[in-house]
Amino acid sequence: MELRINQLKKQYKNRTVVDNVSLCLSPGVYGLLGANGAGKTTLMRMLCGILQPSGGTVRFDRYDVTTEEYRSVLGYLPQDFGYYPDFTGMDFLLYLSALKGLDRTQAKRRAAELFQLVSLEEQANRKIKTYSGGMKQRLGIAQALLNRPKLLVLDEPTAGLDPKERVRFRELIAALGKENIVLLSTHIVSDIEHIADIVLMMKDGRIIYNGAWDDSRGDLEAFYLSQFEEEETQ
Amino acid sequence: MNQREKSWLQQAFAAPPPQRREVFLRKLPTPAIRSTTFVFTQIRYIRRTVWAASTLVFAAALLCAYMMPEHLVGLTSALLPFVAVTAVSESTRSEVCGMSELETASRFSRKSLLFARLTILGILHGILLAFLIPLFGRFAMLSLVQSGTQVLIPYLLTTILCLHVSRHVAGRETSYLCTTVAALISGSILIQWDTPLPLWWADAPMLLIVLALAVLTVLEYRKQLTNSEEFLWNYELTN
Repeated sequence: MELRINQLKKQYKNRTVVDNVSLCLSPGVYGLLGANGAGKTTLMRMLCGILQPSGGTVRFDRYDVTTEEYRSVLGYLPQDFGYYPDFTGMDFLLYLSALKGLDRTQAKRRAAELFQLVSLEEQANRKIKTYSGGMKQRLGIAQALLNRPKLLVLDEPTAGLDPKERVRFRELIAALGKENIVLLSTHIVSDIEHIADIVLMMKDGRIIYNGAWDDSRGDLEAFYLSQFEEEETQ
Repeated sequence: MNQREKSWLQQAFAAPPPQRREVFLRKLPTPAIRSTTFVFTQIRYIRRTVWAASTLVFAAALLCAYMMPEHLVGLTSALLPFVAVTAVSESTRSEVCGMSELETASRFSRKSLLFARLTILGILHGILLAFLIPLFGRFAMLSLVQSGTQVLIPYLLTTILCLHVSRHVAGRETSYLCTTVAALISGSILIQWDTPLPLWWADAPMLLIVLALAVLTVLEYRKQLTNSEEFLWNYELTN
């Protein structure tokens, strides 16, 4: 199981937002760290087939990102997502289950499991418009897991979660990362420190660091901030 | 063994907890789903207002045909633009409600989803329009071409204009503008109550107009499907 990203590029007019990124990801948790405008969301959208790259390729094993087979193993949580106005939490998961190819019986069973996993059992039949931000985020995490994805791409997954839910989320991701490829982006350095096996640091569309991080290298946050201080002093 | 005995056995001997369930489930091959099955699953997700609009026009036409046949053509033609708007709004619902990213990343992409919805609506509206044409012919004493013209021109014109609007305007403004377009076309029909379209025109020019509008409608829907293939990346959104 391998995700191969080869010379991936996204240009918009005279600005290169993702600049020739090449990565080879195998099962594990990858933390993508970067400032606003670094290109994290654009990179993730290209990995999910939502944005067409200006150059380069993305393959999961032998499947190209544009294929149905690729999308059938993908779970994605966007940074921000909406919902159809009258949907309850259950309606939302059943709707996305249909789009992910699950039949209704499977979908109901899976949705019930996921509501329990993200502690939303009691809110399942309430309308999403009554949910708090944290509940909505947990619902988003649940939908990303509907099809038992082998490739999980999470954009700012812990935004809006309270500390207790954040700890539960870290445990969930750690478990998922044992057999699957999990790529999560965040501004919160402590999330990466606790969860990620490999740290990917992104700046101006390029990957400036790719590797494991341990205490012997010092404080990750200090290293992360120093990358931007270097830019300011230049 | 009857049901009660089965129940006793289940209570007496609890099944052991599943071992390596996730590993087993992951190894199961993902079943292929036929396109027709996928289209059918989308029927439940077409909004009730869409079904209601078509049903309302159907009922209004039927009622008018028996009770006020002299107003049949004007009233029904004036209602058809709103039916067209419901179809266009279904095709833009994902963007308006912020669901397009999630839908695009699914196994059945947004293009497949849009195609499924348009197929369902095409069949529904096709049945409605096919019903109205002979109804006009019977009760309003119009020829087949004249009936077709009265039914198709308002519907197709509204569809073309609304699809064009939806590609150039984002968010909820699309709904308001499309409804305005429908209201203007409907209003112009109501102004010429009873003879909304020039019946004195020869059949051939009217047929050409309908054909041209049909071709433009197909082209507009094709652009809509093509646009749905990629999330329209906006520099401002990601910066």
